[in-house]
Amino acid sequence: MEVVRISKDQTVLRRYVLPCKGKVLVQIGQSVAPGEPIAEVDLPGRFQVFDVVNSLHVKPGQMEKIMKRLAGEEVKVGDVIAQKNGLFSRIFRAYEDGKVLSVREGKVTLALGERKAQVSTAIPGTIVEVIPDRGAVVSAQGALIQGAWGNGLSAAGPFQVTEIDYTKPDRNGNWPDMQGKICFLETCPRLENLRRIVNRKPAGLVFCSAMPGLVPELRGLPIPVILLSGFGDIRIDPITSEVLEVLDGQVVYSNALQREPETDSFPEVFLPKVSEQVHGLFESPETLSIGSKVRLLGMPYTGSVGEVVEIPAAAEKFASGLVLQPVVVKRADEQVIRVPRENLELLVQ
Amino acid sequence: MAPNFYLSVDIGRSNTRVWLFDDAYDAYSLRASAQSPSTVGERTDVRLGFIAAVEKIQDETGINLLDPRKHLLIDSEGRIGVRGAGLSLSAGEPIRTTLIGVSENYSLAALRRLVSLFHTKVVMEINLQDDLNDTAQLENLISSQSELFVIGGGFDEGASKRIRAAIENIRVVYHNLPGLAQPQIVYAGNRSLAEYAERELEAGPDLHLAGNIQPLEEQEDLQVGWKAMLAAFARVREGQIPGLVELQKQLGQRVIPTTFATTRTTRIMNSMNTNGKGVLTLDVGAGGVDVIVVQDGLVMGGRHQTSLTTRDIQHTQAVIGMGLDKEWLATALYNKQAHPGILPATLQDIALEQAWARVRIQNALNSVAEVFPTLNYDPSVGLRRDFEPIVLSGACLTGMPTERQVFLTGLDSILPHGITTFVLDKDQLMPALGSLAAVEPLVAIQVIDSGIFINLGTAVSVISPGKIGDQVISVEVDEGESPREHYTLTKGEIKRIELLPQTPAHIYLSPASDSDVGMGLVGLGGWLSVSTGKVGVVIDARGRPLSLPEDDAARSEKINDWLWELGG
Repeated sequence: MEVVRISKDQTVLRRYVLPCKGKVLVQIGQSVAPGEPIAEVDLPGRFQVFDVVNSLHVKPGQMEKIMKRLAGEEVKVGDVIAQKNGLFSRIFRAYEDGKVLSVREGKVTLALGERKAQVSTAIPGTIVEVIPDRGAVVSAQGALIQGAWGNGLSAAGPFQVTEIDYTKPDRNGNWPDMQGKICFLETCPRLENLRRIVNRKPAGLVFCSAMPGLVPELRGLPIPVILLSGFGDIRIDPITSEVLEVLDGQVVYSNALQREPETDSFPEVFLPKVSEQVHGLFESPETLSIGSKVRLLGMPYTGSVGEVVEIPAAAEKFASGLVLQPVVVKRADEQVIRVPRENLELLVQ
Repeated sequence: MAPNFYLSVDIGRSNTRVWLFDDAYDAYSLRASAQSPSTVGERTDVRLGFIAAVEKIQDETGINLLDPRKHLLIDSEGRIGVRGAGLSLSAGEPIRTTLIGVSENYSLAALRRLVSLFHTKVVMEINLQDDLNDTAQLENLISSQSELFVIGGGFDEGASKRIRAAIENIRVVYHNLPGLAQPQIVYAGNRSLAEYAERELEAGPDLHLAGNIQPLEEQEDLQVGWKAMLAAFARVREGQIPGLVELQKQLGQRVIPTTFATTRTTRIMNSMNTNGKGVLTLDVGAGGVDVIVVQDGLVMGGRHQTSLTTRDIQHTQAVIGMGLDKEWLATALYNKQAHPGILPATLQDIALEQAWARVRIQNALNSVAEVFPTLNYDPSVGLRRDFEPIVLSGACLTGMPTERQVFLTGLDSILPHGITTFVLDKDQLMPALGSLAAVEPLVAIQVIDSGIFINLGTAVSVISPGKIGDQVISVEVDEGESPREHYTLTKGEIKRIELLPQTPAHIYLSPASDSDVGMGLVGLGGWLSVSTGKVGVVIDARGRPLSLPEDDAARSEKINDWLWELGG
């Protein structure tokens, strides 16, 4: 069973690390703002492999004689790397600052220029752990909604619960202003209207659900898109709705990560805020019990929420013919249903 | 005398599974198995999931397997704990791999086959015959962000200039890029260059020398590359998964890919097989499908990761045994992608689950056939090589409500030709036995021999050029004491013949003169001895490709009819 966090006040720990060893730029206890670099590494801008033997017309045995720089040496732009003297002198110079990586097999390999690779925090918070040579863990508190699907992008901006009357033209103030905002719409509209929305330059889009046919379009949009409940025609549930009200009008961070619960990666919208409550530095493990709030995953209940009223000890046979561990859930509409434990998401509020 | 115990561990993306085998009843058998959520990630330790699973086995059996520090009690003399352990792993992203070969036909194709069993994802291929200058090649090697470079090509004593240049570039990448872990390098090319590669690369334990997988023209031997690939796989995963090095030390074994472990068991089964046919194993899990084929000394296979495309949705719609709205079906599949752990609760769910399993199996067979053209698989015509048995494994198959559903899912996705038997690996033992085979081969042999796999039944596929309704085969069933039964099938039909339990039966197959039942010649029939399976004997006269109505409702009805013919 998966755990998903939909909460007005939640501790969030996010790890930002380089894919390789580098230099960590922050310290424990330091406050960081969104976009602030956490760690960086200097990498060569480009490489050049120069065939000395064939380009300078020398024999392989003459390499040692004509090489002016050795492997490992730094070079400046214009430095002579190799030079053949004689009636027709030939020279190979560095065309940029860099380093000689290797001199072998009649060839010289240079790393030239420099580019910085950085990893930056997507949320504001405090550094609670430094991972040597790689990055750090940022802790923050605030309102959080984790979703079901994201297109891999992220952005920040004022959150706006948006309602659109698609029957009206998108001009003359008929449609709300969306420019630069993270806009929440309950359902993703059909393609034509989706494109009209995107033309109004929102910073990000959050939908409760979208029809599957729109996935290729959503995946290709240049702004972050999050589906909170999944695919189909799913209406927003009351628990998420309460948190959306808290976000409305506030600057939020939309990280439309691909959902991978095994690695604690979720698409999410986060509103950092100072909490009156002091939370621990660790996200505590959650377990299912009577009274737990859950979201249903399988058809036909996808996206609806409820409360666990019974956890029978014995497995039972479902209509599919499978014998599974059931959980009895009272939905928000008072309907009591039995669903397999695996078809629930435990909501942490 | 106290029994000998062996433990096998498989670390999957979602679950860590542990099996305990013992020889309390003379031959080795499965004593207990358990699973626990995997703990594979940067902020956890893989040993936690392992310990949780082993503790479940301790609770169930009362056998003490862990010491007070929660380390596995292992003693090769068998005085305490287990005598030995095996370790396989399918968790983690596929290993980003670059292949470097001297030509498409004579090395890259072979390299693709070599890496297919080792949970790799080929992110770049460099064909040294392409007109790519050294600088461009170097830039490509760097941008690939590969965790593994596999170099092949060049017949022994053959031309070597381009391979030498590529080795030089890999040297630059290896020594100059600040990766978290050093990339691994497997050299499986021209043997006369192996020493040169070792000297030039200076990669120490990160270089794995293999024999030349193509020593001569028209000769390919992938197995000479397996040891090097296994070592490279273990090195990559050791650098990625916290606790893995320590777990290996405890178990006294290096980790191997789950797909490779399954391959070992399939090879053992093939070596025990006396019918001269090959063995096919399909392991269908939520995250991917493993296809392993062993036949005539050849090993083919690979892992196909699950993804969802528009074509997959259409394909699922075309093979589902229930009239479901297209939008509903697409929605359910996308939600299943977002939540792979969802289990089928309704009739619609289970129909979808089975259709989706068929599509994924066909996609997997197809992708293996692209790398191994000799597999001779075509999605519409089916698998034209003979295999017996076909082993069905993995949670998506073992979790189906009835054996008949598993049988039909296997039959309709593989579309075998001739005669074959389907067996079900209910306890998902294929990887468990494979990783233990290197420690104590007797465990695998005796457990397989004990009949632990469930015999689902025998399928006889009748291939006929005739049209629907033409008579294609007559069948006579002899079960000993009861009167003989006779059946006649026309093209388009499928017939299940139930057999008496525990009674070997003989079936006489009499195909029409233009029909092939896999007895060596078109029109040739004969007696077939079969043992009782859960489903029985299924005579599949539907032909290849399967003929299905265009209309959605009629097609679903037809597919459902087939399932009902098998018993629902």
